Amino acid sequence: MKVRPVVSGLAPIRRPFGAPRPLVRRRGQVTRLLLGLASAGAIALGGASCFTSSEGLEPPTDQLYFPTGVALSPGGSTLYVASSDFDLQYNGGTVLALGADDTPSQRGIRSLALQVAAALEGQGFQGACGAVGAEVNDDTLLHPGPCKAIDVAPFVRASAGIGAFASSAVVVAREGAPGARLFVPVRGDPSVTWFDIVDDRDPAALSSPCGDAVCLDCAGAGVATRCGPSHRAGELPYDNPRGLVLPVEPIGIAADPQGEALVVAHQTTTAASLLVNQWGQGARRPTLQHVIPNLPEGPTGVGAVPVPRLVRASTGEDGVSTVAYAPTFLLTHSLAAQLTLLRYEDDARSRPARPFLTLAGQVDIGLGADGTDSRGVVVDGRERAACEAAQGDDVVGLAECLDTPLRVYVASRSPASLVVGRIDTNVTESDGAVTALSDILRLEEIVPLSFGASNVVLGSVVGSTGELEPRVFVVAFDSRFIFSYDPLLRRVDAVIRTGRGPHGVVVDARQDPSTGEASSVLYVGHFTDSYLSVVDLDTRRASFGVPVLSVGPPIPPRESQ
Amino acid sequence: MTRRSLRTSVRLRGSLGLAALAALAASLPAAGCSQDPIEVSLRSLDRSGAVAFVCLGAPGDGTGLVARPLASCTAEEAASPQDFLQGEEDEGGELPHLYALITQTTRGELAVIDLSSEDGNVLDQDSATPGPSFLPVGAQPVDIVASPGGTAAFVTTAELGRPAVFAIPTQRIRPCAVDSARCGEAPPTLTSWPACSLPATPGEMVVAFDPPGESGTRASCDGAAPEPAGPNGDLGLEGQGRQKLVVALPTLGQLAVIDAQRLLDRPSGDIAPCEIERTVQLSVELPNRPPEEIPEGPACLVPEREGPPDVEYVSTPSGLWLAEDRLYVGDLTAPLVHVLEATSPCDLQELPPLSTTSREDPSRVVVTSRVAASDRLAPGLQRYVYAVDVEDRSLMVFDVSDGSETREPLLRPNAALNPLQPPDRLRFGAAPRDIIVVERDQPAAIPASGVAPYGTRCEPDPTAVVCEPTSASCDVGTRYRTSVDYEEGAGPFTLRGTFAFVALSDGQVAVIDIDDYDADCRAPSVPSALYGCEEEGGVAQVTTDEATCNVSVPHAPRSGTYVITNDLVGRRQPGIATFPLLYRKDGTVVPEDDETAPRLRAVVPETSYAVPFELVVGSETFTIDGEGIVTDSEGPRHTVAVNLEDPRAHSVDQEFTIVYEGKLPGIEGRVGDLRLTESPPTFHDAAARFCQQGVQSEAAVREQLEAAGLTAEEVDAQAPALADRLSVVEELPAVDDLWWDRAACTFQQCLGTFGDATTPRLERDIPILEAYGDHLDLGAPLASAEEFECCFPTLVTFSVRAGQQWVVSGAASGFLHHVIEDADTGVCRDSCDPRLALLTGRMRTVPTGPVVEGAPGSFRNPFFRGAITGDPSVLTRDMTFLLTTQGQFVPLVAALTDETTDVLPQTLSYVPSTGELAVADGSLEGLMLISTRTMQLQRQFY
Repeated sequence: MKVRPVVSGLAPIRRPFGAPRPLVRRRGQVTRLLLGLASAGAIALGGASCFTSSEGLEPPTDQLYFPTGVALSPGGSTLYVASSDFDLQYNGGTVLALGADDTPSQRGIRSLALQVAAALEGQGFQGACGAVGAEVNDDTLLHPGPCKAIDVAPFVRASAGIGAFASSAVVVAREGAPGARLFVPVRGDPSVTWFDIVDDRDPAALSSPCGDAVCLDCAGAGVATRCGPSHRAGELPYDNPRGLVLPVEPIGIAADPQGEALVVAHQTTTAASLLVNQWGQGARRPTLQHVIPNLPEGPTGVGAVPVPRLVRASTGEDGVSTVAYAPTFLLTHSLAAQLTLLRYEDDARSRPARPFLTLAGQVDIGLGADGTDSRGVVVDGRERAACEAAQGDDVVGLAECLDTPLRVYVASRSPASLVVGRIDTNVTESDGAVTALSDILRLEEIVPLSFGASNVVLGSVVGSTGELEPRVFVVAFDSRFIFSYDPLLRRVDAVIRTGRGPHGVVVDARQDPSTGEASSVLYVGHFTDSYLSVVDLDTRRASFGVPVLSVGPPIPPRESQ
Repeated sequence: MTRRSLRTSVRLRGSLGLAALAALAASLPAAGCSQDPIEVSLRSLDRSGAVAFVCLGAPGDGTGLVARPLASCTAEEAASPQDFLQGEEDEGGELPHLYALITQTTRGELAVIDLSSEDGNVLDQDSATPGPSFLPVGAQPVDIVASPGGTAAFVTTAELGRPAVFAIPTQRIRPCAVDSARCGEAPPTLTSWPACSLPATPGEMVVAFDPPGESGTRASCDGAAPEPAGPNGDLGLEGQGRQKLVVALPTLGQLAVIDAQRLLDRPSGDIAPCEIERTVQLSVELPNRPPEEIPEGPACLVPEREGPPDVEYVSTPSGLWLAEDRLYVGDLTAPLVHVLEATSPCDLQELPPLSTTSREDPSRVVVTSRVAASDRLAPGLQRYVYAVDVEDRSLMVFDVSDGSETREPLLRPNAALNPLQPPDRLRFGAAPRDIIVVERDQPAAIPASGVAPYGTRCEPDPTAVVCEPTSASCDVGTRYRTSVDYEEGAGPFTLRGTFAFVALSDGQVAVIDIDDYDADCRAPSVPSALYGCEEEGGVAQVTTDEATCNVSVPHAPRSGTYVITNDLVGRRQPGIATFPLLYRKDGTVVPEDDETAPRLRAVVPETSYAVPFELVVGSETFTIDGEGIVTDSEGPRHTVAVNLEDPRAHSVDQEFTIVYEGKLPGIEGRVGDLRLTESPPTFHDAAARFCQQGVQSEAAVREQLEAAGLTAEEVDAQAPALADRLSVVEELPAVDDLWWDRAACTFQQCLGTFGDATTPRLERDIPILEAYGDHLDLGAPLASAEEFECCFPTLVTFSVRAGQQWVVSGAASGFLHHVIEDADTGVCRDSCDPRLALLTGRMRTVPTGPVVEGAPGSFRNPFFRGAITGDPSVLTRDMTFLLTTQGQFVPLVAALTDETTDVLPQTLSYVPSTGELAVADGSLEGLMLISTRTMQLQRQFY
């Protein structure tokens, strides 16, 4: 057995295109490696690189293995989970499409979780768990929740193989037309591996690229249907006019609301990449277009700023808006007390257009005593979106909606906190007409959390009146908590205890259009023990904040089994 | 008082608990291959929130009457939590202990810390269980208050779906190890306490007294007679009336009034709905106030002054502060601070609110979190309310004295002297988390009587009778004068008077002067307008002889140093580090004896002052002559006059560059769309915000010159030269770029016309005729428009350079200007707001000779004033004066970050018993106690 020399940091796994994939085997000390992760945060996934090359195994498609990315289909019927194969037990990772909603023949994770939550009110643990085929949990310290985990295999609707070390996942839905894609940054390639998936926004008229109810279309081949090179954006230098390949260590990713531009953070190269997503088939696909270098150290998380609806409402028949605006992305840094603002320029006036990112500004995180390690970031435009939705295409009303600021939330580890800020839209007018918009970020508050904050997402809980109430959920990987932050009261209103290594999370909050009944659950991918839990977010129930259902089952890291 | 140990180590029992997890995580950052151990301190407190203090006597007499008034506890320490006897030999009487009850927001618990013990301070409620055990009080504890006599504490909890108030009888907060009566009992659980459920999520809470009426104390607001108190304690023994809890219910916009004794008397474990005696629905009626009037002026714009949107606001009460008969309530959604008549909590009546406005941005909806009010201040019985502006990192101050004529934030006197601070609030670099107002004194005794009267002001009058040890009579105010060595008496750390303390999110506690008893002795000996004094000249006073009359200013950050430069204090007076030097573009220094070179000189006062016109350079003080020049052994030097009126304007020592035809900072690195073939030629960058960057177009310069009275011919001649110009800094496409294969121009042709980015040619400059927020109207470039577009085929990086002017830019303060955007036309023009006049960063060259303040060519920003004289024809682009300021204002702060940056202060309290400030940390640092004598971290418990 050959032993690769130990290098500092996690060395990127680069290989010539077309060369055989090196098969690797875990050398050992996985427990220590994973516990190291606990302090570094799952999203970093760095600091461990003791592995060797050898023959390997195809990754299983009926279990989760160090999941890092969790994303929902646009309509919420399917849950996508990217497994990272973090200890290199296999020759790559996977993406599983799990059924969240019931189908005529199969139960979904979400509906089972809600069934348990409802049953807990009257039937107790035994009855509630038994009804979904689960045993009562006898290890609530390590894996909180009333029921033991059930097998994930019955929920797998589709699967695909990807490279090792997937770091996150994001779903993008096409605006104004059917179409949806899933993007997964993969550090092992490195690439942004992408999938055509089913657009389920209209359950009665699914838009399926493969003809099935669930798709993970990535030109896959082989036993594990490993995604083909055409679906690994960033690997081919001739795929873009600048001859670029994706820098190493793609970590965070975010897409603009139109799903046209995606920005990827590269943790070790002080760079961020721009992918332009062309909807369609064949050559019309996502491609790497630009890499902006010389950013502050440790780019990590990416958040997209919602584009004001006024921009689109002011677009003429020529496709050009009379309101100039460049979509903005926020970038966090794990080694610098700054937030970076990047702007996407489509370069549409140039021939040929060569889209690029520009550095629009940097904001010091001066709220706390340190601030040098920030991770997840999300921009909350829900309040403005509600205003815009009421205006239709009335440009005057839409302009007034710009008075409603956007909220920014950043998960910081130094100190462990949620940094809260706002984005105001600067409006330039000329002779009474809006001519340009730009975003101004400022940070306002810092809310203490438990150590190890790593990720932040938007969501809603079902409030005491049965209505959905907005919340921000912050994951503390190391301390196994998820904090629910109430933007109205500006404080943490619930602390959710989870199993080990929570990181990839997504909220599915819905209001039934026919009954008006609201429900909300939080999907949590547990990196350390390789399983998924579903947390009830209905504050009217005693099970609020409880992982009412777990699927996996949990698999402890090898050395701790 | 000597400084005690900074760290009180807390032993962690067992292997579980957050501290163990913290240690585990902290010890494994290098997993993979490293084996190096990392030492960490263990913590038992995590995400601490609110804190309350109680004083308790020795347990064990069986009566349960252990509560003592807070004043009964002192700074004396006992050997252990079990030691309740005074004196080192326990020869004295009872030594009650001071306890801090601090909420643990992650665990839903209440930690009890014995502040009177030398050791074992964090009380473990269940030593049989591994890890520290505290008192369970329900998830999401929000606030805690204690009855003034210490009989009970009350905790509001905001667990979703189960909001509640818990009553904690203090006779049951000490574990078996301290109180043997507890040894037979099971460790406390959630059902150990009386509690009641609230109708909605609670916020903050205060204890208010329903005063006794003619018929005595009533048990309820409806007049019920008091019943005998239950076994949990009798709050009636504490006097002052019937205690009520006033609880904010933010989501309902209400205040709820609950009888504290009835809650305390409830059976434990029963969490029935609270008996709410009164509910106050807070109203949101914004005062109808006219917008601020800013006078129009020549060549300037009157900024928009519209108020917040005229919509229906709902109330979300946040911070509460009870000051005698007034209850002040912050609001998280409505732009006001509620004011309630609170003579009795049974009869809370809303009064006209305070308007939380912003002069900088009148349209902003200013919402508030914490509030605090001062006691009435002598001699005028003034009272001030401080409120935290949640979204602005700032504090507002309101004058709520009887007869006060304004309900808006107080305006800072002479705000124009320091336009970098907003005129109506105190802004910090970090977010204010909590604020308290404290009155304190260190009274000196009158020698003859030994009496030490409180509230005596320092007396600088040279005719006052100085107190000597043998004085039969004297003016005791002279005892507070600063000693000749600056070690004693009036000084930065002598906190006598009323002060606000602000806990900041970056781990600092700042001090705000409200009424400094020593302010009169912290001033120049001879007042002068040069020092910002209201008077000019007069009899020399016995003062610190500091270089400004504004050392101590009400509602301003307190100075942490003397503002003076001498051998005892150091370089603390605003000045410059060395004489300025003039550099050419290539970095060589222009000799100061070069008579053809431009000269930087101080502007000369219009009238003479009663004090010398001086400049501190390094540690030396020089006199500025009538030419505005300092001459030393090396001859005449480049000179400026440093502003001394407001020392707070010098917020940081920084290097200033004064660059001829310099670039405007803040624009470099951006990209924009050059449209030279359009008519008129324009340049677009939607996010450039050209007005906010201070761009000055030819049209704007024309208006300025016309307003200055120049003739049309003079305007036509000067305006194009002085106006800013767009400078394209984009690199040409690389010589092997595919673009050149099909372009109508060649690389060499473009290189010849425009040069490269390192040696650009003037052809890259294009005059700016008019500037807007998002675009520029351009004049004709030297090169053809077609050649421009051919050589730069995509968006271009650019800068904006001044015309024949000098650009003044501070390394920290940047390029100052007061250009705003016209709301109607979008053009960029100077603001007419006189408060912003000193925000300026352009100097024009004027003929050689002295320049009087206010004359053409004179320049003044918040830091210094000067002029550049000489022959304009010898000036070359990027010629640069460099100067560095010194003597920055150092605010008095207590830093909690000496040993860790993982500090997030949540609440701030004053502990009268010990004279300490108590900071509860939202991170892992627990409870931190700061001495108000030294402003140093004195004790810490975690």
